[in-house]
Amino acid sequence: MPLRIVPFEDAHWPGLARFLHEHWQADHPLCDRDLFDWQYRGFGPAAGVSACRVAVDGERIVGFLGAIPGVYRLRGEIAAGVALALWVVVEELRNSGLGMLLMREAERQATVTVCLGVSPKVLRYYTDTGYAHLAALHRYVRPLEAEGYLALLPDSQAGVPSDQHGARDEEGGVAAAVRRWCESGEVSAAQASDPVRANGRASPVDAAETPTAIDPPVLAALWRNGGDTWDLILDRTEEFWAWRYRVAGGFDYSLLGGAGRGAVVARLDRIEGADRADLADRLVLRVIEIVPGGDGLRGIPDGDASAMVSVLTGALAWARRQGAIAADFQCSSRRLESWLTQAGFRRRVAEDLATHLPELFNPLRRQAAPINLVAKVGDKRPIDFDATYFVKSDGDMDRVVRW
Amino acid sequence: MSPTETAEQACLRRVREAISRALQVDLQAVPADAAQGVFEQWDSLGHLSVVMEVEAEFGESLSVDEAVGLRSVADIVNLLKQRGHAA
Repeated sequence: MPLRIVPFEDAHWPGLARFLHEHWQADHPLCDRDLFDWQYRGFGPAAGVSACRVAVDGERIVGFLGAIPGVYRLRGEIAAGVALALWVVVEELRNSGLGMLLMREAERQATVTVCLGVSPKVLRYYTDTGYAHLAALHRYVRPLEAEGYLALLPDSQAGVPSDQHGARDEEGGVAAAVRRWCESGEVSAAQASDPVRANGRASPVDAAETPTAIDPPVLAALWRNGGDTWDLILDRTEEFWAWRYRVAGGFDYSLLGGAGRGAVVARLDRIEGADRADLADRLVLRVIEIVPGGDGLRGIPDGDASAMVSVLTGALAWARRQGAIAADFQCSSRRLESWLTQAGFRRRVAEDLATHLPELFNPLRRQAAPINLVAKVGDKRPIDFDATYFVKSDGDMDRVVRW
Repeated sequence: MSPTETAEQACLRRVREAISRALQVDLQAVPADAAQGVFEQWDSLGHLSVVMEVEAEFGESLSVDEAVGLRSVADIVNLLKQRGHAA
């Protein structure tokens, strides 16, 4: 039988597991069927692993493209979409066009196609075929315990003079700036003058939120308040929240906040593989989703956002009590930045060395590339990434690498 | 096809022109013995562009098996011959 590209089906599994083990990563958790089924299930009418495409030469699997089906909102209209998540071709067929043919087959299912975490080696395959590109999700970081946070920064940065790190540190050095940032929440003159901060709501010693289990109806209801303010987003239905966070493979997510106030979906990452003894088993709060309540996103930047800030600071306070040393949040848009800065986060920028947290904590990876994003939409209109909401869990970005 | 050009020569010329357009290289840079590996541009993405240009030029639709098996100008001409394009 000639080489062909077909939807994944159960009969492919034994061969596919071997293929991924041999041609991608040996013993990767994704070779576990349960995790595979969860990752590629997605949500919406096309939910199920059959969105994945398999290249089969006779009985032998020679290529695979993971595709996660979902429902998107594209400029207010519902649209079928897939997130491309894993692209593997046997070595002898690389540059044969098979990879691109797999991609083309996967794209045919959808109006919206996205991919996060694209390797620089293949980025051109997307940008030359009509994908818009965001070099990195905006990343917001926050120390929760100064000495632990400093240990996460590259060693060389603790003694950098203040005029080189943008931390406005009159005492000199990133270390002192981080200590003050952590203790007082003071980040910058602009934030210090913010009335919400002046009221003291941004301190991590505020009342802690109590985490609860992921509640899909509550989250879906909150999301509906502001979901139509974005040009391109996953349509976060009850099914989405249940699939992505309640039954997620490998990670335990918590809901902080709730109906009426806004919510945060987050998890605690335990640092593994640390290169410093004082980091072993420390925790980092990964804020994954920020879902405003009330008027939500319609209020940004002028509305009363204190409820959302309160939820964020409450989440930070909870994490600190659990022993977390840092927090972060990643998003393709900067629309949430007002709330985040009021809660004491600072956006990562190259010149502000105090914001240079490692990308990965479990295992710890200081040099990993930031999460980038490519997206292609059926109407071929330009994509304003600030009007999109892609976060760390989109695609396959928030998935265990150890099982 | 010019009066002095055979059907096979015309097929070869059109294939070379298709590759030239697909890879955005001069026609002179695509000799009759050109093959994948000669051009930096003829990678996986370039190959898909070549396949699509050939499909458009000759009104053909290639299967995955055929598309992946084409590695040179000669491969493409031979496939098109089988489909009656050089007759």
